[in-house]
Amino acid sequence: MTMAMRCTDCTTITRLPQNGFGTDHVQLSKYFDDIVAELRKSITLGGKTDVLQSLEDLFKECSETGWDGNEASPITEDAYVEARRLISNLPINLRMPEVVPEPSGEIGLEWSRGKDRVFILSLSGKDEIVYAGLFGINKVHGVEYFGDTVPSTILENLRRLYV
Amino acid sequence: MVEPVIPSEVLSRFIMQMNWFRPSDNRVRYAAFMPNPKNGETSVFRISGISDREVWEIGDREVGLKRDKPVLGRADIGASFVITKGLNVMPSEPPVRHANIVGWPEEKSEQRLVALELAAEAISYKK
Repeated sequence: MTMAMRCTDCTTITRLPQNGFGTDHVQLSKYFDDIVAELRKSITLGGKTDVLQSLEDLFKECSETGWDGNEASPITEDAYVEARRLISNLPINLRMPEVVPEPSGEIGLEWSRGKDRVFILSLSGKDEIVYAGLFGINKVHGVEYFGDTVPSTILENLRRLYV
Repeated sequence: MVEPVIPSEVLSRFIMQMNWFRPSDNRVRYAAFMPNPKNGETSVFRISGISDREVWEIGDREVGLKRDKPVLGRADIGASFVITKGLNVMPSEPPVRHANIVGWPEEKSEQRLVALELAAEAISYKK
């Protein structure tokens, strides 16, 4: 008998681990990228492409001080790169977030299911994810280190939002 | 002498950034309430006792014109709610009716949680 088990650390099938080397790895990476490019033409993964485009637009629009009509700090390239990395690492079975420029120059990723069911991540390019969420009357907030994969705490909160 | 803000007052935050409104429900997003990074304060206007038209006039005159950007909308919230989140509202004139939400938490995640709560409570208006 085969048992199905939830993989709590699985992030995405669209990212090849970067721990290989040599020409074989380069060749394999290229094949992998071609396959992912085809997959992204599908509806599910196409959403990820759309979010990445929104992120790029936001980065261009908010690159100067005062982009909010007040005294907002420019969105930094480090924050942009980190947000891109996080979106690319999201599991394909999760809804894609909307990108939000923050006046502090950081980039927010927002998932919303109504006014008091919202979960956000904030990225500054310092390998950390600041998060906060409202789940009805329950609330969470904290900081997680962002290495190669999306931390399980973040994924658990996202699943909680969509339960 | 400017009167201190009392809990029964309504405050309005004028918005000039379109992506601070969520397209799915037209509600304002948390980022709209986050403090100015230069001074740690969120600028608002005290709108109790004036008409809706007068509120928009304040936004256009004191915010839009001065920053050379159109006011796209606003988010109204009760001062009492702001205070229950551990923040304070301090009058800061001129301009007339201007105030700042102060006392934001130092911790970044807590700051965002409070901003989420304000956004969830606020009533959003698009112009």
